[in-house]
Amino acid sequence: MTAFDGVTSPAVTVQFLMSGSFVTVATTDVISINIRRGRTRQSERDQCGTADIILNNFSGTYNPDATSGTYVVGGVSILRDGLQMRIVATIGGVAYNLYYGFLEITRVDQGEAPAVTMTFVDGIAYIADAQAPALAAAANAETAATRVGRMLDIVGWPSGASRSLTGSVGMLATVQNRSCMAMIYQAVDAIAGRFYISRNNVATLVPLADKFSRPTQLLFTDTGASNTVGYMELFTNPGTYYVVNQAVVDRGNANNQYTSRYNPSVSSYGIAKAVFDAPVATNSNAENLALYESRKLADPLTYVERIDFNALALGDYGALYPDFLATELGDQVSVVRSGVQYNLVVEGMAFVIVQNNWMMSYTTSAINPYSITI
Amino acid sequence: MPLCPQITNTPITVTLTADFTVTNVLPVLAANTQQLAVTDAAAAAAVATANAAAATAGAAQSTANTALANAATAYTAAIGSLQPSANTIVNATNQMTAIAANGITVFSGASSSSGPRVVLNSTGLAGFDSGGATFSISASTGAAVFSGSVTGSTITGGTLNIAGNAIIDASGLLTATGATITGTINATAGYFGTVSNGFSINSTGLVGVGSGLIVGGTITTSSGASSVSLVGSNNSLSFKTSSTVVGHILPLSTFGVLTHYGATADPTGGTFPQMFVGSTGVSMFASNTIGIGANTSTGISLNAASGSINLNNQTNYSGVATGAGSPMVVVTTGSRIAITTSSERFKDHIAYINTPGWLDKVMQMKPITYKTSEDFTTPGEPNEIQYGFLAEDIYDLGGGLEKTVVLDPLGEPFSLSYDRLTVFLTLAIKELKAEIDKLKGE
Repeated sequence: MTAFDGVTSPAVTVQFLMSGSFVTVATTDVISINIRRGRTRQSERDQCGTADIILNNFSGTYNPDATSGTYVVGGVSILRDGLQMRIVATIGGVAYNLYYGFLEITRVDQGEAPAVTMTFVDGIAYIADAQAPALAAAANAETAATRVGRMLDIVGWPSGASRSLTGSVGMLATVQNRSCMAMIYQAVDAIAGRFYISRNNVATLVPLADKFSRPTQLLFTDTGASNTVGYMELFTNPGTYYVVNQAVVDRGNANNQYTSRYNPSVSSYGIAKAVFDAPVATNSNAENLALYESRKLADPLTYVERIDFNALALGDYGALYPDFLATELGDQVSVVRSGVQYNLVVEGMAFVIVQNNWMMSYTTSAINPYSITI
Repeated sequence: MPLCPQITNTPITVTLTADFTVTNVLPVLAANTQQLAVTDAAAAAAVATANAAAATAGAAQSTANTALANAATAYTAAIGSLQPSANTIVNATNQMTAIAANGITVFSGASSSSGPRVVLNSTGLAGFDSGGATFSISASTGAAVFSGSVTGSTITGGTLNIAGNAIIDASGLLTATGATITGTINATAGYFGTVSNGFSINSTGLVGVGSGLIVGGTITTSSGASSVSLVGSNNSLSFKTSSTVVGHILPLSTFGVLTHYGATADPTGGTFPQMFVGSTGVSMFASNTIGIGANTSTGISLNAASGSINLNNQTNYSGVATGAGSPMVVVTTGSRIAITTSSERFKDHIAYINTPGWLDKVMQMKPITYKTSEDFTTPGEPNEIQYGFLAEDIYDLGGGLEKTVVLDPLGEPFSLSYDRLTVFLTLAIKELKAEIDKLKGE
């Protein structure tokens, strides 16, 4: 990462949590960083984020079985499962977390060019490992935010600033013997919202209304205009593959299952059905939710599903770096291509950072304006 | 705010319109039915288990049918033994209700007309035991009669009459005849007797009203171990201090009031010390001292034992001379009233005087005439010229004559004992007689 000076381009560092404090890995040892976060389109779940770090291990510093060296504490290397790591980009003296994860896999190459590849997963993998116990009767009618908080408690996820949970829809006590992650997805479906682990390692639940308040971080153009980002590749999608015009809100046994069909779309494209495991507490919320889900994607819309660009080529001498580095899942971007503007939501992002280059991919979906009162 | 233009995503609220078809159904299958997939072998085992369970259930049903038949037989027998009539209702626990022409009788014994029972008819509700009515409530008047106790928190309306001994009417008036009230009476505005004559009980205590009387018994007020009792049996007032009765005030016969010391009130007047106030005057009798004054050091006291009078706590003068002669009571130094005595039996260290020089002393005595100063006379009374001496002159002569002068509490001459001057005059005469005899040559 020595090519990044922190002034004209962000300085990127890898930091390991050691004895309660983050220590920076020697930048000369960092060969490459690959990060993937989010999802490819809005009809999917946010997937577990991963970060692959390849480190030069000529010194043997990064051997997980080392008994001495920089990362050995009490005779044991900290480079073992669960090691907390963050990737930080700093520009103009301001640091931005790009990723926060936990060590899952370590591959040690002891060949002629010794290297270690470390894979760090984010909190979603951590949460998905846990199984939810039977919900007590007291869990009936609790809000989606409370339900997600209950799951995070089971997982042992830290409280306070490590959580940002918003969702006021009441939920039923639901079927058990699922992973905590599955239970969280029920809450996500109940509020037509989104759950992800932020780049700052905050477990985040946002409601439907969140999409109306997100900032537009970047404008991609092919004109080279001021404060715009030149893209390398755009992949567009006509949207017809992802039409949903019939939504079924499944609330579990002994509760009415609501089905809503948006007939104009059905007439044009046939029935495109989606089932939502959303045990909302009230019939009215279930009906509203079905209406929303049957309308949201009922009209196919051509959109940009992926944008590839070079992060080192942000225009105007790096003035856009703060906006770029602050971009979070769910934020908005727009693309102007040959005079046509696409308004998009950032669904996922991928970073490929090597010693002298930084490639980015955003997966996006079209912004839709539909809302309901729940 | 990011540098690029911001996209405005304006919400469009989705509502139920004709473009939508909404249905809601209650799921028939359990949500997790699909999780119950089993293998054929497992299914076969389950079928075998189910068949075995069915066989067991069949046997159980047969047993149950037998039990049901037995129960039906027992029921028929039981009904037959009860022999219910058309107007008798028997419930599940064999309690019977007989409906007769005159109402409903609930009874548990053999007869609906004797033994414990409750009768409800047009006249009211009544309960009976084998001895007769235990309670009744009149349907027309609402009057209720109970031979047992009435318990509960509230009774409203009418009059509560308890065996004629205690009656509480609707206004709350309690009339008790020969009743005994135990425990504590807490009242703020009740009364005994009538409102105008009797006693009321209020926040200040027991208050007499009109001609209300407390007759008989004893009324005692107390403060710790001390008390005052008004004793109805002898109409005395008794005083107790530190748990000991110390005195009484009570009527004596028919003509006075007696106050006396002692543990027992004595209306005969035979207990002393005592003070009597009656038509014949006031008298005090004590075995020791009777005193007047603020306290024992500044008053007058009469000591019955020594027969002395003590003025202002000065030295007592004992005894009383009974013979005729010179005055026996005098005022002495210190304003004491004393009794003069001359008998040898009152004297000690006696010595006869044989020394000379007494004539010269007598010759130095200076008789005067005078009138009493106006400060010590009573206006309107005569103030004649008197003959005498100045006590100061006699006191200054010394030689024993100062002993005839009475001094005041400050030690200044106050009065003169003229009677004791006769001693010195006698000694002077004897010296004069000796000189006369000498001049005569005798």
